[in-house]
Amino acid sequence: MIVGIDLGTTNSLIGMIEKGRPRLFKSEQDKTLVPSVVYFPEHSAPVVGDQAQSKKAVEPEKVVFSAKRFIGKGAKDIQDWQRLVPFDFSPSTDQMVRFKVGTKSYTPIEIGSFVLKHLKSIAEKELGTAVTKAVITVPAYFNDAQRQATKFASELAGLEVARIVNEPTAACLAYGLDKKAQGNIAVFDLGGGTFDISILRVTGGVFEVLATNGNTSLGGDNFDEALVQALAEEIQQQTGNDPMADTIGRAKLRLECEKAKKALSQEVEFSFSFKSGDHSFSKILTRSYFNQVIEPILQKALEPCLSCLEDAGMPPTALTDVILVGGSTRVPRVKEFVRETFKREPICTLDPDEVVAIGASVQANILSGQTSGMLLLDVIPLSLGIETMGGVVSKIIHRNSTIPTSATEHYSTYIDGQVSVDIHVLQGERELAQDNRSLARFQLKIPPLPAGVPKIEVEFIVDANGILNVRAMELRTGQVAMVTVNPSYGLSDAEVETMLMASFENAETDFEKRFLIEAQIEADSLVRATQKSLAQGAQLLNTEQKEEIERAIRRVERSLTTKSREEIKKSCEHLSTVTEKFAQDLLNHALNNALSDKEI
Amino acid sequence: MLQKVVVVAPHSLSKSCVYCHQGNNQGVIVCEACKKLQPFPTYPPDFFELFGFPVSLEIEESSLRRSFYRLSQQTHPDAHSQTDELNQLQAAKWSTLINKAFQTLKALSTRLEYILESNKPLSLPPSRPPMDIAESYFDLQETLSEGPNEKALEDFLTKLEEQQILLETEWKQLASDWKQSSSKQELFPRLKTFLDTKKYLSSLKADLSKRRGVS
Repeated sequence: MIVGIDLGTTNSLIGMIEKGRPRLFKSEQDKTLVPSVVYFPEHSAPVVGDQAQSKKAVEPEKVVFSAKRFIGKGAKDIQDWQRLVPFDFSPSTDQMVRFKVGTKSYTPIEIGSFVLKHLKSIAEKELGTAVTKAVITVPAYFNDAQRQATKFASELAGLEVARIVNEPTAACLAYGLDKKAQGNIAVFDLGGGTFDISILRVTGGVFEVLATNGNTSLGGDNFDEALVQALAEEIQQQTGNDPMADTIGRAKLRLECEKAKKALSQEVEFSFSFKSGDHSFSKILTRSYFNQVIEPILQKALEPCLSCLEDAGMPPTALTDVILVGGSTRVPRVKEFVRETFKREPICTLDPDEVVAIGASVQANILSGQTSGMLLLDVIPLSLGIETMGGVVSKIIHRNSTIPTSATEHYSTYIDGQVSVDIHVLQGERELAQDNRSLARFQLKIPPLPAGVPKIEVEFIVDANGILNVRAMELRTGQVAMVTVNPSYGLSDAEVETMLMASFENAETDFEKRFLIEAQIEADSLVRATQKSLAQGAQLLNTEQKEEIERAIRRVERSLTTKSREEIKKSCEHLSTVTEKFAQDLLNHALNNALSDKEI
Repeated sequence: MLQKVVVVAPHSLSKSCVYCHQGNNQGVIVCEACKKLQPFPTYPPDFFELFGFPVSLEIEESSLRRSFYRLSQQTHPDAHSQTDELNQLQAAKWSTLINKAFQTLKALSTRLEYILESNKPLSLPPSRPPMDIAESYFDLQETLSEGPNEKALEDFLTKLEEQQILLETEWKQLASDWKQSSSKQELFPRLKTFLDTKKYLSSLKADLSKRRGVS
């Protein structure tokens, strides 16, 4: 069995296909939407979801959210982002971002794994069986490092990744489940932290991605932030108090702005009030005011849309439908923007918050061999190549190539007598190596020969998961070097190992804990049932038998305090044995009663 | 006397299933009888044969795509996710080939290049830009280096447009000659010249639009 997971910036969901219908699992709060928020209590295990969400304004320094924005990114990538989130993160000693919580610090990968582990337990609780395999969605425009990091987070949570699927593609699959979408479909996906646009051709069960584009740091969070910025200034002017001066103030203002955004998607006015120190601030926010504030951010989505249409080779008029995905498409101005850009009314018949998780479940179903006739042909979002003389990129596989795919190019040396060549693998559209993301670097040894004589063949192989393998070979000597591109998000191999070990250790204690709780519940209900029977059928027992049963009950009760699963199990078995005859008698007695009742 | 014959093996699909020997004239990828995916061949088959088309200059995109979807449904790794590792590897190889073949045949330039490369014609004209328009472009660059000159630019654009029309005419002629010709080899030199000119004209257009963007 494979489940589908939408690991979102703001919310996450888990589901599967059951008898051809999607089923999303519900949390203890009876909701399918689980906030991707982790709260770290002082002395106990991290808490995920609604409970963590409620701590945002109370103990903001112990809460981490929007971690997806940072996954697979180095400290260098996110210098400007500190202001976006109220919690502390430090570049620390290595390249990777770490969230500081008290004395501890966590990587975005670990935060992701806490959320995934929580989702896994939600599904397990509902299904009553272990869940070990999942299809996980990522923004289409995620680069290789971000994908690898997501995959790693999943492994840490004890979930094998059956496939990484792009979010807009998943959304299209969800619409395709009921054949709601056919033809040329554009998917406009604006989530909490990322923006994707994809164009697909859907015919007879085949979903061919024609082109994809986007921006991995553009989303609803930015709307909140823009509103925070706009209002913080006004609040300071009016009250003389800077609401951004402390963490709690920042967190509160942010929550208020989030509330205003949601309200303004329904109403045209929102009465905004905020307490800053001893002063209070209030203002009537209109929808048009909000629209003005977010307009510059929204305009950043235009360029990716136009490029995507161009790459797909079609004008907006050639589209059959435009699908809206992601919570941020609820904002009326966003809908209007889509209407203007694609010259048609967008559709959102499926819940934009749930559609990606449903799509992930569809792909999970395909991979478990349950859905025949449906096939997804996905593409790589960014070009792949290597660095050549002068720091220039030589592209080997172009973006929007259908995967799996491979390509081969030939190179030679530039200096006489060179004994090795550096193969620097890059991802991105820019011409210069330094402007693209470096994925890997390895060396190929070659025989010393005059410049231009060695023949070096470089082959790129991309599998159906979009994971790249690179092979380089000197053709005259047959010297080969090969790498699977490893995550280069700043983690050393040793760190990866430590994290994996820790997760396995935790997995064991996690399991042990779960088994103990299950045993306790079982024992408790057994005792209750026995006591009830004793009350009902006391006349069927002699004193000795009664005492034996009562002793057995006390033994179970004692075992519950030992917290030993073994002991609980043994005492329960003992109780079952001594009550066996009594249970039989009780049943006969009840039957006799029932029969004599009838005779009367 | 003996004459040495060099056979350039036409790499083609196996005409019968390696497992159950059921035959199929079009070549087998997934056997219709035993439903087994065939081992990936040492020498990958010709792209046109893969899609079941004759080697042709013109291809209708919709029928190419139909063929692509059919083959993808048979070979994509997702359709084989429940099989053993070896079979999954074969599926990945087939699927990779099919994706590359589709991408190559879909666009005119890459399709024509593929035809030239895979048929290894004996003699081809050297690559050189069409002299007439190349000279005009050289003149234009000289004129423009002295200062902006709208008229010279306009004149050149008109000339470029004419060349483009000539190229389209040659294309129609070439495509129709190809259909009728029994000896395709004779048409390769013309095909090569056509392709070179096409590439040159589009690079000129890109240059000019960049130049206009700047001014």
